[in-house]
Amino acid sequence: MGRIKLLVFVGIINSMYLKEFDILEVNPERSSQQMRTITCECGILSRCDGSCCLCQGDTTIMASVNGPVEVKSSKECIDQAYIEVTYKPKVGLPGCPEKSLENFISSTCKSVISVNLHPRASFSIVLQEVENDGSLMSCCVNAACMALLNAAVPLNYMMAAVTIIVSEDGELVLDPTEKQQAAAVAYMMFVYSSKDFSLIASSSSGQYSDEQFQRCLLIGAESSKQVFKFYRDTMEKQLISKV
Amino acid sequence: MPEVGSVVLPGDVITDLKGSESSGKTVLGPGLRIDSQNVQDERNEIVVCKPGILRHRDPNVYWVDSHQKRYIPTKGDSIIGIVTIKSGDNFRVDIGSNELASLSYLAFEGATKRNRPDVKIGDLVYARIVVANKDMEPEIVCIDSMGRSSGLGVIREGGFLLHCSLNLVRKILSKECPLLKLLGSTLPYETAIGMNGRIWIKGRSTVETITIINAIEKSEFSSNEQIKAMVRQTMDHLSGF
Amino acid sequence: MHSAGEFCQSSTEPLALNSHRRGITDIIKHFRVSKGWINTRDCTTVPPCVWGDAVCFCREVATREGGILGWEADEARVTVSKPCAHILLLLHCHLSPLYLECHMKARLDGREIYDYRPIQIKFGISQGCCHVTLGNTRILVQVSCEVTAPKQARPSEGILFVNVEISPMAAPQYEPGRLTEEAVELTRLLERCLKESRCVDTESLCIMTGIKVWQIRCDIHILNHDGNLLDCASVAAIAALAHFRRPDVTVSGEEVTIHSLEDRDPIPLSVHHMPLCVTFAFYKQGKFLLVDPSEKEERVMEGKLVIGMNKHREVCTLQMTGSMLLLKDQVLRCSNITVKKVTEMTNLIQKALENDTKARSSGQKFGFASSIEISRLSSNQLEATNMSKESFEEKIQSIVQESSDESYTSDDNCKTEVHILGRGTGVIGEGGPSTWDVDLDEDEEMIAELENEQGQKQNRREIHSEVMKTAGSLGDESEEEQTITLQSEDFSGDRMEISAEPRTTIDLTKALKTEKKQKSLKKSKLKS
Repeated sequence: MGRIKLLVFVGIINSMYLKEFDILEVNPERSSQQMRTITCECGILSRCDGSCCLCQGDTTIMASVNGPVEVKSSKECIDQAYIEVTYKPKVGLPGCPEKSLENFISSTCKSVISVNLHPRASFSIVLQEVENDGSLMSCCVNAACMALLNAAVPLNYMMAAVTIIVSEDGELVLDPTEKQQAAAVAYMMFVYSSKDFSLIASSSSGQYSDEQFQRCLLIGAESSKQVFKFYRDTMEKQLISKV
Repeated sequence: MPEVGSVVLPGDVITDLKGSESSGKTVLGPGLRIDSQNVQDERNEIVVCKPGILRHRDPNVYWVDSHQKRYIPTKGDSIIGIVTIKSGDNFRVDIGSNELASLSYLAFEGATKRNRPDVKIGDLVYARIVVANKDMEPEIVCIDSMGRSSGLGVIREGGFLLHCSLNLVRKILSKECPLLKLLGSTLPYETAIGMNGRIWIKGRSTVETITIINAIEKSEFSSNEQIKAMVRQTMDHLSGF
Repeated sequence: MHSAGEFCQSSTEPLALNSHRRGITDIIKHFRVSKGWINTRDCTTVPPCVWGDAVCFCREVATREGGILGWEADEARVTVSKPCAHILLLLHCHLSPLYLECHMKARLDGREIYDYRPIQIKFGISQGCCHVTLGNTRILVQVSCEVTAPKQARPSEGILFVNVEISPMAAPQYEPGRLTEEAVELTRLLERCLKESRCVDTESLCIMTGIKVWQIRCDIHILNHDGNLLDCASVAAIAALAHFRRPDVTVSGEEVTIHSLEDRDPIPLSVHHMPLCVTFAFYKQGKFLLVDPSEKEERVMEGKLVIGMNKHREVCTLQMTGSMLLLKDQVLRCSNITVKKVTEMTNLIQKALENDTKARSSGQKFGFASSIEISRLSSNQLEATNMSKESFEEKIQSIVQESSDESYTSDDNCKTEVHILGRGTGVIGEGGPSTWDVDLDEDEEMIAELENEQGQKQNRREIHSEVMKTAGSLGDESEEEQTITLQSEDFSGDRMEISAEPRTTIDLTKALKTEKKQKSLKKSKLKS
């Protein structure tokens, strides 16, 4: 039997596909307190009620929303709508991490969507990973919000997610790339509401101090304002031109 | 405070709405909600719940115009439904909402228990919604309050059913839109327009029907001038052959 | 844009010439007339009975209109100017009932019978990621590789694995996770087209015979279903396979080294040829056919013919399903059409691959994010902007101060001493009163109140049970079911003094009294 010596490779669990990193990949001009370029295109899928393809830097997620639609009788709720989120990774079959992401997003959406307006109905949100270059979870949340706006689903308020990591030298980096995220000491993801920029949901891992956490919360709240401004600009661009 | 005619997003608070002179009340249409979270303050906020353009009609009506594809049943709307199930005394009709609507056998002109209406599964019906709220299944009828059909009923003999967004339907039904009249001046056609985003069209031939369908689809994002130019071009094309 | 047959009505009267003069756009420039068949540009054919009349008429009309440009007897090539071409088409449509029937149907989007919808191919940043749109149908493919043991039957060959994922995003009727028949059929056809045609050289994927080989996994995600998933998926899969790069491997004796990206450049898969599928939809028992059916057209089709072919005219797969009977020459005709379409699509793929390699090597931006057209109304972009730190610098300072004040040092309260009681049992602390910030006096009073209440309830229960026993006809045996309504008297005066928060007291004394009265009344009524 031969021995196989594996050198470093960029991989995701079992399968791997190589990413070609540009020489200018870690943009030296991009400071740590800067969100990457956000690009989005709405209404691209014709078969669903609302859809959006959102890119934060190179991380791209495609989201689609259908609702309110018929619900399976086992999931029927007499006073509110049922929210079903499906996350599809690009490679392989969905497993536990995907399921936990789905649960996270569905519980966040429950507070955002006015579920009491549509009892015994369901909202189905599907998120497809198109490209992952860090801050995947926050990109998913933002794409879902944009798709909900595109579908004109009744919402209580809008949501914006921000990822912040604590790098090895203690620096707080906003909206990290995959490389930066892999080398981080701590990872924090916050979801803010548009009403008063209060925290709706958060997910964090790693070791960090109380002060770092408080700092990240504030930095996150400030950057979420940028995301909300982006939503507003996008909707204005679409709606005002529609005669 | 967002102005009338500007884009509003969910979570935006609206203040300074005009009430009517007589009663002092303001009428809130689709897209606006009262958020009475602060019971102690007794301050009921008016919050936007759908993204769109804030509209106002004198004296006291406010609503949000949003772009939506999914239909939510509203009482009084005339809609086109597809009969899917025949069960007992009711038909179950698909109107595009999350639940099937029920249509009674007797809700047709001249229908009695002996004289059942000739409706098959897959038929199109043009009906009016009489019961629609979030807690009950919607109910539709094909007669008006007098018992006459007044244009409602089964749609027969061919034609084509087009699915479109709710905005398009509202747009082409509005007084300002010249599309339907212009098309009709050169191409005679029959049409039934359902507020649930379904339009039934029947032209003299397949080609004319397709032309009308394409003209309607293209007019969704066009201004009135563009619509007039487009219809003229289409007519030239068609008669040129 | 419109095929000739569209404007032929079912009537048999010839259409008046005059009505066709205005506003004609160019559709066809010339015919090739050979061997008694009139072929249009789109390979449609008309039976010979028409040919004589049509040509004569054409000559007449063309001379009258001044439009005839050429007439070659041998090849019988008739070249006419635009207006006349159209008349000729119309005419022979009209004259031939069979032609009429075949080509009378018009497509909803104005395409001709053999027209494909516009195809767009985009590549992502990671190698092997491809996004193809065919009209409104969108498919995303990602190719990845993994080292596994080879199949026992073929120890020196790599494995190509195809997986199709269809989610509710594609169309609302699909359920997540559940594999529908359609998805299974799609997977099988793609497997036949890609694997069994040996388009990818699997021998080169072997690392160590019988022990380790590369498994190439092709995940196909359907994003939007607007008809003809198979063609779109085959284009996307081939483009992704050609785009993919796998890590370089060196085998030295018993040791195998898989090099990383920095060490050695990844190497592409060896794709011998590009098999692509073309779908034909048939209607009316094989009489009418359409290439690249859209979703509405697919729903009403009766039969389907799929031909997988590469541009060297080699058929890789062929499948016919549905209720129809096809003649041999119909199938041959379809395969001729397939050759043309496959050649076009292959050229498109090659061009897209070239553009991508150029963009990558020249340092330009590539990937999906850069391929979104920002000028469109439905898209928007926000450049990376710096945040204003001043706005929250003060807040941070105040919060940091607060937290440092409140922070408790670990030496303060809990001395974490563990007392070992026995084997496997330990105890931290020894119990005692609660050390949380609670007013102990309040606690005791509240406990006393509760006990009082309990006592009173007991008394009332006893009274009730007596009442109930005497009124035996009521049949209420279970004392546990009795509901006792608390009156304000039960909330005796001392309670008001103790509780700090203003509690709203409910006056239920009267209720209990009236209840008792009613029960006694009923009892008396029964007796009487």
